[in-house]
Amino acid sequence: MTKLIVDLKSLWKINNYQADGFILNDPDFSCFPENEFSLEQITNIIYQLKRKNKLVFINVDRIIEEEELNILHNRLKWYLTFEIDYFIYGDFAVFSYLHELNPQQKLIYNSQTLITNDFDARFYHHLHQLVMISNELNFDEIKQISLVGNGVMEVYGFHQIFYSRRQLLSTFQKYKKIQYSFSNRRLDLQEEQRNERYSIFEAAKGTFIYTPYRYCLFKELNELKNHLVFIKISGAFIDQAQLLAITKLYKQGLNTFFTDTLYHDLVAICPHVDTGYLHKGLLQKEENRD
Amino acid sequence: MIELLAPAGDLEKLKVAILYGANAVYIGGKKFSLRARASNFSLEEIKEAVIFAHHHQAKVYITMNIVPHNDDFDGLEDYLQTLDAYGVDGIIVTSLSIAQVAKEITPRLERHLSTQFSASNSSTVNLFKSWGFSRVILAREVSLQQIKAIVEKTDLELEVFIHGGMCVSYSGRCMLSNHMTNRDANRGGCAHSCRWNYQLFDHNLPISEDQDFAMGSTDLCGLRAIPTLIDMGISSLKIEGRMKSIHYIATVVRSYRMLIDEYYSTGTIKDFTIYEQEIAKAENRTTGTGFLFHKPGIAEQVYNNNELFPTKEFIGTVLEYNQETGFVKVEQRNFFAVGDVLEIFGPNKAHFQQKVLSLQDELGNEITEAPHPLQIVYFQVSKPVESGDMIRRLTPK
Repeated sequence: MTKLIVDLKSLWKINNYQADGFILNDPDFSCFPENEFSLEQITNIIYQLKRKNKLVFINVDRIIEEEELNILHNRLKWYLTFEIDYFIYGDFAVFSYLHELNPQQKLIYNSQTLITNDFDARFYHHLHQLVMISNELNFDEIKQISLVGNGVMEVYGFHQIFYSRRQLLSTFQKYKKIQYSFSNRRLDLQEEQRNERYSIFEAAKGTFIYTPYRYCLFKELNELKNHLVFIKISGAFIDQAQLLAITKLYKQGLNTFFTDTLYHDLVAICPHVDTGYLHKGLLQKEENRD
Repeated sequence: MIELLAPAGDLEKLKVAILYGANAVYIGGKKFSLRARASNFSLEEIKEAVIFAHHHQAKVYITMNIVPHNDDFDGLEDYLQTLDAYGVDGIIVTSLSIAQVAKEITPRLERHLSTQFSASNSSTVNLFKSWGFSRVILAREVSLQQIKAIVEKTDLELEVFIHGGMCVSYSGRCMLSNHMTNRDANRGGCAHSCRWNYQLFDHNLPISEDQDFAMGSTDLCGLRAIPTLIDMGISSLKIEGRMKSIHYIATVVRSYRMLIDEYYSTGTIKDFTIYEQEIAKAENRTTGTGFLFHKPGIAEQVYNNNELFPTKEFIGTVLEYNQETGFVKVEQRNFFAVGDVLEIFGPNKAHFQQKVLSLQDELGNEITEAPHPLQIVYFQVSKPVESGDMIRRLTPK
């Protein structure tokens, strides 16, 4: 049975959340744009979640630099003193170290973009790992990968589509001699020939860009829900009240059926949703710019 | 000796890269390769490429670095076995399942982990070593200091980008092209959306009036890092640019070759600017040092896309030289005329200037200009040249 997980952004109404598990984004080693919790708070949250029999996911999906390895190792060792159900990682240094400390530790590989076929999903399956399936895929491709049995899918939310090590906003700020800081703030980006606005966010370790819409896979989940291990709702740039309502609708869908009525309720929360590449394909070769 | 690894988009570029000093080349086949716009090699051409390269003691690596979808796997095993049979030295992979298949059915082929994996630390490098990879191509985001620290903790071969285009994102982690043009960046369709013009908004208010926000990076020029990289024990120095011209490849490869040779023979580099000035003759984008020496700042970003500067124009290639008459037979690539001052250079000689005093066509008729691409013309030169030498213009057209 597919389970539902969601980014935890605050403890507000945590008892009302109908998610099976919560993702805690590490304040230093995750790409998540809103790191709300200190390590001390994370300690308390893990205890609370465990008391409620919720699954705990630690997200450490950032790319790790050489001088950070020791801090990372200590952080992972610290996490292992708790009962963490899954670590989500994007750099093999995390896999390498966790595998050494505890070969049984459950892991989810999330590079955002590299799991695009069932052959690669199988590779990770042999390593007893789950994989976050890329969102830039059509429905048939997602279904094919989900059949491997180790797939996790981000089914709702602003999806991260760009990850740079550079501090692109701060550099621009200096270039334009703008007084106020762009760091740790959500700005929007619009290409000169296009209408969509993409959220852009700069943190200490890089710059991230997100889809101009909330990616939304809903009714299609009726066909996928027996194959995916987890479906994930991204909390990036979505307020708690909405997140709570969205989680409830997805949980109802998982428990029964992802119906038109539920979808109608979902769109009522925010109409600006899109299915991305679910029903269209990508061009493999380069054509004209537009 | 450190390996100088050059790109080659076709057989002509491959031969130029090797003749001008590359120890190895990387090329793409018709399948499994990024850079859809590069012409890429048929299997027959790969065979010919390997024969040519091995004859000149150079290696050939095949890029199989797409992030494949299910349909892309058709024919994978046959393709790998053919590469193996042709004597290809190694493959560059992103997909771990492709790497796994290669390990099982073509164990002789070296497997190099693509920079698409953004390997940035020694733990990752050593993990891939334990999985039987022969080499890891480091992320372009690592600094010299970080490279040094990684080298000290591994004995796996490491490859470092030293010259050419830079993704502004971690390689493989940018879907801008996908979302803006429907073109799959990780399967060779990158539209370079990072180089376009954008406007920034803060709560719906424009931050500046112009669409002047850009993310594009200057190209990398790592000339000044070469001695340090050699001293560290890096295995391979990689030049980017499978879609670049033969003039670019000849100029850049030759410059790095001469610099590396100077360092090995004298233990120092007398004057970096000689090499920088030479490379500038083939560059049409601004260059910087990427992450090598410091974190990129304003100087490493391109905020005005019109800032491209003209290269010295590539005029043609020497086909033959007649020692008795001093006449050179040239295949024209760009317009030139009597009175132009040209510069001639080759793999094994210092460049020299040559004014065109007269021109003859293939039939020996006097002409004043050579306007046709691939036109064969003759003119007299003051110093000996060789087949394969290249000619560029010094005076404005």
